[in-house]
Amino acid sequence: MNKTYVILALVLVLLGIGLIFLKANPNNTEIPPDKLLNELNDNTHYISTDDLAQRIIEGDPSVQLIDVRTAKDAAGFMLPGAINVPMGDLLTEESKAVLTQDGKDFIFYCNGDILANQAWIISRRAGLARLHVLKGGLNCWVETILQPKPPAPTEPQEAFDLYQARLGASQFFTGATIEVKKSETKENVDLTKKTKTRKVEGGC
Amino acid sequence: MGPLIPSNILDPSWNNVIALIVGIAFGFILESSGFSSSRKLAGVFYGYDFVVLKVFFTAAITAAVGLYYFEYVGWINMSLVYINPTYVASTIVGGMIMGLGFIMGGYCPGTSYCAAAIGKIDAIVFSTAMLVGILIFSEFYPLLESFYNSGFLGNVTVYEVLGLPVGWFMIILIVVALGAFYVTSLIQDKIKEVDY
Repeated sequence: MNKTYVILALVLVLLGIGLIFLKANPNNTEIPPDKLLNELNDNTHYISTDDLAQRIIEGDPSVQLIDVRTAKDAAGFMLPGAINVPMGDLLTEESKAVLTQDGKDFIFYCNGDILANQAWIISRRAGLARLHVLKGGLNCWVETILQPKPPAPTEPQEAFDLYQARLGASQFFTGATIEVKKSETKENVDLTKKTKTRKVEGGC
Repeated sequence: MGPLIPSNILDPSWNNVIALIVGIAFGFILESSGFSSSRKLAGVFYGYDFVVLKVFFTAAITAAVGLYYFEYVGWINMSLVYINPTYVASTIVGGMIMGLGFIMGGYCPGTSYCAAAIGKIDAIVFSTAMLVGILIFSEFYPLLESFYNSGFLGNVTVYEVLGLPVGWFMIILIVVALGAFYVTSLIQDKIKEVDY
């Protein structure tokens, strides 16, 4: 048999064996730009302060809050259970370890939306998943959860229910004692039949 | 970085230009390796010449091994590479029809044009007949449509269907290919030399 063929066959087998030991897709975890744009535009990566408050109160173990403000800001106030990962440290090994925990929804927040959104884009491009942004950030958190404003009397019942829920949440997060009223029930309507005063007359 | 067009490195209008260049190169190499001879091509069915099997199988495994190494070093993103959709039932029947035509005519579609280009009369007849066949198929397409689309599996690869890691599938494919080369060379040695 031709010696060249044997050598070429051996080279192919060796290259094939090499493929077994290669890790699949090490360099291609980056999300393509058009897909990233779609994900950004459909706004499903936002989580509202009310949803977040409810999940924390229910003790949802999948919530992992990530505070992307500077360490100095974060030292002043952080949401319960949050981990401070300043923007500059977003791609370090330690942050990666935090952001790749199994079974967690990572929720970025800052004072507003901007830093958290930037962190979301960078982490998404780094190939991480289950990332969310707290809509409105801490400012919205204070406005809606910590110090909710009562709705105007003309607003629909849903606004009052939401207000009551927020009062409850506020109590949970601040320890304040605020009387939580149940939503008002309608007045009882008297349903007793009136007795007829006229006799039934012929009809058609 | 690659594939060049899906990664927006080249404009999609380059598609036809690249296809033309690759096509000319492919035709040239087919012709220069003797694939414009219907007797050589038909040899794979009669057992006196297995060069078709060897060339195409070698091309497949070399390209596949190369692509996965390219992917490892980041030259190509395999998730962007187009994978032909699989229709099992129509593929089997289509393959049998194509094989029958291959034995009878001694050409596959690409080599028939290659041979027609150098003026072989049988290849000119073959490629004209192929166009007639395409016309008949197109006219009867509404009748065949449901069968044509049957057994759809999506854009799958063999290793995905088998649930094997790519590396293991590749080594199996390479061993099968090398085994086929060895066995066919044994067969070829046994069969008396055919003059063509």
